[in-house]
Amino acid sequence: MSKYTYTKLTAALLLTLCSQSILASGITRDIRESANTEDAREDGGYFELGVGVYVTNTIIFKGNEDDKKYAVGPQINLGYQWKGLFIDINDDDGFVFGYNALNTDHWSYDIVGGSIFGIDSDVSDDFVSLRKRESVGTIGIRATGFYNKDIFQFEVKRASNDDFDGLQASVLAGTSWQYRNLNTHMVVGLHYSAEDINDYYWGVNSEEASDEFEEYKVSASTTFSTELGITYPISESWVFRSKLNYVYGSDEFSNSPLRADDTQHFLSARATVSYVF
Amino acid sequence: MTIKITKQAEQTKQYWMKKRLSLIRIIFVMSLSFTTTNLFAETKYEDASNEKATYLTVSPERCVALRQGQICYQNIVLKWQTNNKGDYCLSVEGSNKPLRCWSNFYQGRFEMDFQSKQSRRFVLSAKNNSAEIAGAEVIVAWVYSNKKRRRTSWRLF
Repeated sequence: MSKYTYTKLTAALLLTLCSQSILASGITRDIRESANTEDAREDGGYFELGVGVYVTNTIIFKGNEDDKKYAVGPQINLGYQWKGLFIDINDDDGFVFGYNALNTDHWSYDIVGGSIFGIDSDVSDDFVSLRKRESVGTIGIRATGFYNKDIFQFEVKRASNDDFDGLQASVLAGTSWQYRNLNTHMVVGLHYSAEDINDYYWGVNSEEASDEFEEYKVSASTTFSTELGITYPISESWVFRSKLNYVYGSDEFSNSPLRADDTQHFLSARATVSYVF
Repeated sequence: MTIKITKQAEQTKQYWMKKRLSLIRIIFVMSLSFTTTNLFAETKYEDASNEKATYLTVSPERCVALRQGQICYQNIVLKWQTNNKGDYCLSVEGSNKPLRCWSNFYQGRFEMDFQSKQSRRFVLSAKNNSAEIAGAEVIVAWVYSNKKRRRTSWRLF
């Protein structure tokens, strides 16, 4: 499986999940590492390099139906914090940067930024006749609560460009448990995405409508996600991670002409072996 | 002339016979010396192997948890040997209660399910004497270390 295919699959998933706010993300890494109230972001960073395999049950975009539903490729996780400013890029929570503004006994409050990936002919050759859906940055606030093994997170963020302006919000709850040296975690989430954002990425306006892509208007959506994963220390420097994600997507998204099919059930699995520097 | 030649040949013959005898003697003495040395070495080797080494080993020596502060789990095997038969006990350093004791043994083996947040040292001692005869350590390590949280703090630009 080529690196390009792996990147395309990952990008498709991230776009789908980010634009729909349906990724059970934001707390997975903390859950895996059993972060608790005694932990805090302090200056410093982390870097992990590994290889992973990814598989999904469906192809997202129209025109990519012949693509493989699995990919193998390199995995890079890294993050850094300096005086409250932080950036994180990892296979669990995606890409986020921000500023850690306040810490209390149980809660951490951040200003966060991220991105929503665009859709164009690079994603699918079939989209060459459609307007380019641009990637945009997001800005928002996030509150994360730590209660022993349980972590809760609330996030509201805004995405906008010249063509749209909307909000996305998510509520996540997760917990972890340990069986000998095997760490297991579970995260559930609810995700809201405003009509403006959904319609920009997944709708088809009258100007670009054609026989292949009929005009389609998308409303606001609420989706449900859940994740079950394991983390195992192979040695002091090597870690094995695996997770299974399930997302129940809204019918607003499933009926989009940009979709390869109309399924509302998204199942994906990932396994990686990483070297922790 | 013939007599002279015969006499010279006889002398030459006797010369080489003496040389041969000398050579044989030299070879014999060297062989004897070599054999004696080997015997001595073997004897010394036998003496050394009869002296049992005193030790306590543990395998594996490391237990890796995901995060600092987690309990680390590892099945370990402890093996010990002394140079005298006797009554011995195996225990965790700092603990009054022994893990296992042996009576009239000079070696032993003990399996256990190691569970600890910290490194632990095991000691072998005589049953009636707490002095350590041998020791071995299981080192607890982790992938992710703890990070400290500051309580209630505002960050300012």
